[in-house]
Amino acid sequence: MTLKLSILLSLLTLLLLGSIQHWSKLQISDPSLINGWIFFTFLVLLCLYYLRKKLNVLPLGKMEHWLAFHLVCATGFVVTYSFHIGLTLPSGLFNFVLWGSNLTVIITGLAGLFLSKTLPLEIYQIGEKPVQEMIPALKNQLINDAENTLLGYLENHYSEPLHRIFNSSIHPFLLSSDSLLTALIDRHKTFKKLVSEIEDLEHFVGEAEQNILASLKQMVKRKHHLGKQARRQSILRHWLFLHTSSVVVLLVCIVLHIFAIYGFSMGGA
Amino acid sequence: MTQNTSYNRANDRWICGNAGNGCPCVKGPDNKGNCGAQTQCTPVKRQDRWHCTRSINHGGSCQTGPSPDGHCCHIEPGCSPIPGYKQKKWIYLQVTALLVLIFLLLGLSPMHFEDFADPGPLAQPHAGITQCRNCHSSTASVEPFAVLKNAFKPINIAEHNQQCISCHAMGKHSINPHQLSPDNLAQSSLPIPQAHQQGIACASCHKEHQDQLLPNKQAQTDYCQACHEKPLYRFPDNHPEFIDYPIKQIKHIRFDHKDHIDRHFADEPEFAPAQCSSCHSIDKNGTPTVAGFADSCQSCHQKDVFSENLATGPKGFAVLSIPGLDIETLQANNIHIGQWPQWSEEPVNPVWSYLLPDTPEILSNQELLDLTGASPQQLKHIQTLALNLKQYLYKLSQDGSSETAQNWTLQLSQAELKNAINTWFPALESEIPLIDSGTPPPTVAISPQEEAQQTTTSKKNSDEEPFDFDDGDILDDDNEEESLDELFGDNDSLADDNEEDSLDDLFGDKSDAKNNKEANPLPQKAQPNPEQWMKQGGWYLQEFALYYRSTGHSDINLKQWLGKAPELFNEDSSGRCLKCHSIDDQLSSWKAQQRNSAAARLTSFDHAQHLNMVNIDNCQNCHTIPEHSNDLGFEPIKKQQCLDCHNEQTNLNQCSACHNYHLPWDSIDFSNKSRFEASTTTDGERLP
Repeated sequence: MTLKLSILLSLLTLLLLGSIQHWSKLQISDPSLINGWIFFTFLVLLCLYYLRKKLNVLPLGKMEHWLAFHLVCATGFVVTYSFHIGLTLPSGLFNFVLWGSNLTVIITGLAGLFLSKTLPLEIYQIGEKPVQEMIPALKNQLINDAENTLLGYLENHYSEPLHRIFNSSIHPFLLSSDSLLTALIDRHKTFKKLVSEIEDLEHFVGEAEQNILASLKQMVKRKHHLGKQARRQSILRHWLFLHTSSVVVLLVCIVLHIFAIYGFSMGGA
Repeated sequence: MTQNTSYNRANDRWICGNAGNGCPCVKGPDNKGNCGAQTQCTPVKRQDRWHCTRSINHGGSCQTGPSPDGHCCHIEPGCSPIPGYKQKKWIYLQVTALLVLIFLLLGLSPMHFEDFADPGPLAQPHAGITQCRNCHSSTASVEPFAVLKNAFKPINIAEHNQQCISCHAMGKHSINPHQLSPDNLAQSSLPIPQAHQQGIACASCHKEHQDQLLPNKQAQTDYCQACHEKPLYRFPDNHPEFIDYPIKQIKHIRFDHKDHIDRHFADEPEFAPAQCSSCHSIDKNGTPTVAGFADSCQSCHQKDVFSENLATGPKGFAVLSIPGLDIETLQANNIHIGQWPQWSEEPVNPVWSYLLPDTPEILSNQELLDLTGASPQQLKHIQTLALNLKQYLYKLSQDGSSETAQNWTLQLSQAELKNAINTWFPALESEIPLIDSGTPPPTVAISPQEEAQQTTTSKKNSDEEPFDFDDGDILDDDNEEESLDELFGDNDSLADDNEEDSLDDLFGDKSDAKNNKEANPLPQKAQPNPEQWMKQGGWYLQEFALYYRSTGHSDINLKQWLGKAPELFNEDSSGRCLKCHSIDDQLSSWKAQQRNSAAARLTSFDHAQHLNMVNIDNCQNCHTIPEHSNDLGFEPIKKQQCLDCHNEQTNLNQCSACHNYHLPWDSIDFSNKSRFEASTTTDGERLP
């Protein structure tokens, strides 16, 4: 509903901006002056979304409506920016930073929109949905459970295969990092290899050991899922780091840009 | 066992360092990231005993319970709190802000500012300007604070444009739309948009530090719409028909092509030009020009210039003349004006209204010769005119009088002037003191005999005594008959007249004379006709007026007088200037095709370019001769004639294809070299 509303309002905004741009081109003045100020207005309106999140105790409307408004303004922001700079590339360090921060804001914003629409679904599909802060504790508990399961069996039985596979593969896997970089490098190969290894071993051990291996396999899978959860939640949160920090840079640069424009061209001789 | 602690929530800034082990402490870190772990509870004393207050989430009251002195016995292990999501974000923002601040401080330092704020390269024509301050002069050292200060200045378009017009001369009204004067703008029916009431900055259209200094054709057309709205937007659809183009604009010379082609050139084919280019050529700007008088017109119109083929009326222009008055009535009514020529029938020359602007308006010329019905007030006015005229002539004869008078007596020598005045008013010198004292002498008519003896002529530009016809060579000519013919005006115009009338005219006996005066006695000796004598032009005196006859094309005196008082002239006036030159435009230009009007100069049509086109082989492809004559002898250009090329397909349908925004300006003032100085080496050599 929010997305549909956003798309509808965005289309209306595009029409309005197109009309303004056409009108401004028919004036003997720089259209950049008009669309520059519209661009700045959109930026301020986009920042209101952040303030709304901070002032969540005030009755300022539903967040989903604010999100729709944010998306509409973002559309206007992107379109107005394209009107403002056209196809030209910046020159000079300051303009380059301004251009870069603008581009970062737009890219991270688009990426955020994509991630916020896809990752929650994936997180939901994984099954278990602990908050990111709890995942280390859950992992820790998982390691303890795995150790207790194995040790409980080994107290009464001797099993070289179980001992070997736990020490060489399962335990390191449970201790391994869930960082995004590791996941990108590994691409689930370790997990798949470990599961395959456990399943292969199941053919050569007795029933009791098979039960232990099945439990350990479940724990390995859970650890894998917790890792996926951690990474997705981390991405879902940390894209905002880039987005908000680039907005800060953009705001500062735009204010300076406005002063420079008026200082050099309009006010100054 | 995982403890369900409250600080697992994402909003907490810091997370207990033991949370990763599944054993976070009860209190958790504070907002500053300090470890809050001390004991698992804060025991409370109820009556005489201390009780454990550990929460149920953390296992409830412990079995050990608090120590006797009220301390919890479960000491929490300390940790290094881990920053939570919010704290990480805050740190990230702080670092970013710090980096931006450092970056800006470095960039905004005067040392690096110009490079830092570099807005892009200048357009190629300005490539020699390498220093910002050469144009942004008010930001003298281009410092951040100066720029900041300027940003709050009110917009001053004139000051802004000064940077451009110091090199690009755009005339006095560079700030106005099309550089039009306020008067021209006032005549325009188009309202100026509010945004441009204060003028238009050059930079509105010419954007520096970008790829193109000149807006592209589409942009130019768009800019036009700021004032010229939709009706003119696209040539094929919206441009109005050329109702009177170019006829309305070409009006300095009235040349009827149709009339000349159909009538004059047909009658006298030996004078007909071979083709259009015999009279017209295309200059380097593609503008058609008209060959001068000597090359195109003189062969037929030479006689017009010297007024030779005027059938009736004086061939000279009467500059100073003595109006005829009803002297008897003036005498009868005791209106004293002193001596006055009895036989003058001259009208009141309109030139007097320039020379004597304070003279009251008098009766019409016709009534001046019969004042019997005039009221005392009117008679008084006539007396004022007569006395003012005498005083003025006296002054003129003494010292040349005012600048106005000098303008009307150009190239007339003082001696000739004195002679004319003496002829008209022999006793003027003795009358002036009486007139000045307010007791003018009684009105006296000067007899015709006296006047006839005194009539003489003057010669153009002569500083000598007036020419004495009695001693002239003309009457001593061997062929006396021929000379007399010439003197007595033996030309076509007079040949048709009754000989008796001609003689009467020559000796001043006008058949329509009033006042019931007796006919003039004929002079005893034939006098030469000064008008005929001055065939080549110049000043001459005839009866009661000083005439000036055209000395040729572009006569300097006639040009000046026409410029001052065109209403005094008509097509038959001396020189016949107005036969061809139009006064519709207050004689703003004497030359043909001078596109001086602002509207004309804002339209450019390159004739050379169009004549090079395959399907245009001569001028009449566009300039068709009309069925009925009009001012120019051409049909107006039809819009359809242009549409073959100026259409959407060729993209030549933009306003700028034919119209200029700027009035033509000829040159760039490169004397203002200060801007380029920075781009020269110490040896004065220009850098590439």
